[in-house]
Amino acid sequence: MTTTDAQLIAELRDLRDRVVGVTDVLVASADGLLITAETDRAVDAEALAALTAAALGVARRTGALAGRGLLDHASARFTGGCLTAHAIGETALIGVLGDAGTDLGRLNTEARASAERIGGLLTGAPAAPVVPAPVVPAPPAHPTTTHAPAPEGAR
Amino acid sequence: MSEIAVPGRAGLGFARILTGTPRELISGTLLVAGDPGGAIHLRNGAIAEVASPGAPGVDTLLLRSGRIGEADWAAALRRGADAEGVGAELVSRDLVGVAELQLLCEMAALDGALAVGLGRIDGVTLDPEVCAARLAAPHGIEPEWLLQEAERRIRALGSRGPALSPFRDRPVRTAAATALLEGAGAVTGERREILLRTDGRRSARDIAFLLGRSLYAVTVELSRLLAEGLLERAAAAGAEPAGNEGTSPEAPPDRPAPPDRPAGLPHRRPGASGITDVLPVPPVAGHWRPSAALIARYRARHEARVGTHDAPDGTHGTPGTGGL
Repeated sequence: MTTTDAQLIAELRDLRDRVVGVTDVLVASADGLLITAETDRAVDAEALAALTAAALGVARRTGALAGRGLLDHASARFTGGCLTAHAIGETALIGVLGDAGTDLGRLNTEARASAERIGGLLTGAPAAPVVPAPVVPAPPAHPTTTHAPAPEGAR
Repeated sequence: MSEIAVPGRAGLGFARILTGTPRELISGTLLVAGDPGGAIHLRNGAIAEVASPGAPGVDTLLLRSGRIGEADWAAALRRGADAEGVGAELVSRDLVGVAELQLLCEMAALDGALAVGLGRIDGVTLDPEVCAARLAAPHGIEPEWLLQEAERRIRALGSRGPALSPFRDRPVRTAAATALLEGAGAVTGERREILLRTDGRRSARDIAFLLGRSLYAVTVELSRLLAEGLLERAAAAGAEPAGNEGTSPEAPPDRPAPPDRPAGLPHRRPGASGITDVLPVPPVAGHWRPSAALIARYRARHEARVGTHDAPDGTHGTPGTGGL
């Protein structure tokens, strides 16, 4: 494992520690090829990377079609958890799975910060230091019946 | 909205404002900032719900334990217009009785208060306007009872042998536990279920959500297993969890396919599409790096954004994110 790989894994584990409820995190190229992942053994990280990229692509296309500008992230909430995907520039993405208790708002704040640092690692630029985001109380969102990743925050 | 400063890292002092204020005066939501924090929903002085990311709510207890099906839950959510409506809908569909629902709500609220009290509390804000409970207890919950019971449980956890954080500690099975699990009938019931799910990646809170069990019960069981030498603490954050390395395409782990993956789901393999032969991007296998052109574009976009952050009005500046 190279230094960058170790730094990527450390960043993914740090995200799990910062946000209660995060179960799996992965980094993939924009076309869905897995770069690295910190996932449970029961999760097929390569399939998850491909589907996350597809969800992000659908959200991006939808935003473009509706004239909503550049995509920041796409989130979906299920009865048993949530998925959020953040674009890292135009070349990569970060996908995060959380369980039913995950505070999706906080997760998106922290995932964006992680995506910025991972972007720096992938491009070889010096990584920004970890700055804890302010903790804002927010009750868990309502579980919905959404069973497919649905674009939420295209802008 | 009023702000109430709460000193100290943990504790349930905030809950005393519930008992020190005349009844029928407090309705709304008490938002507890912290890690994991939470929200206490109040109606006419009684607690309707305590929701926290640190403990399973009634929905998780019902769904993950298999008590009700996801389709039934989704239908009840659609039909129930508000927090009372969801509970009433569950009862009217004979999915759960009123007494059982009240008990479940009390247990979940107690677990939520436990999670809030065991975690870090940064402050408390009372929003008297909104009571945004997801599923309110049919008969409300006595704040005095909740406070006393939550304090008792926090003390009980503190007095146990090895201290175990339900959020930070991610214990891993020892060789003795693995041998015990393989022996027929040696470990059964909830203890076995919990032991099977301790893999160095999951905290007590994660296992509670996974099984749809109480945070308190899972934390107590993990503490017992730790004391019996069947579990040990995993390495600190940032180190490799024992027996469960991060996956990467460069070193694919030898693991079986997920048993519940639907047949026919597209399963991409690096390089299978041949796209890497067409695009000027090195294959992912090996040390992935974007092309020089992509790096230049990414840096140019980032610098443009940093320039925006440094604008004189300073409204968009975010410390620590300008190092790319």
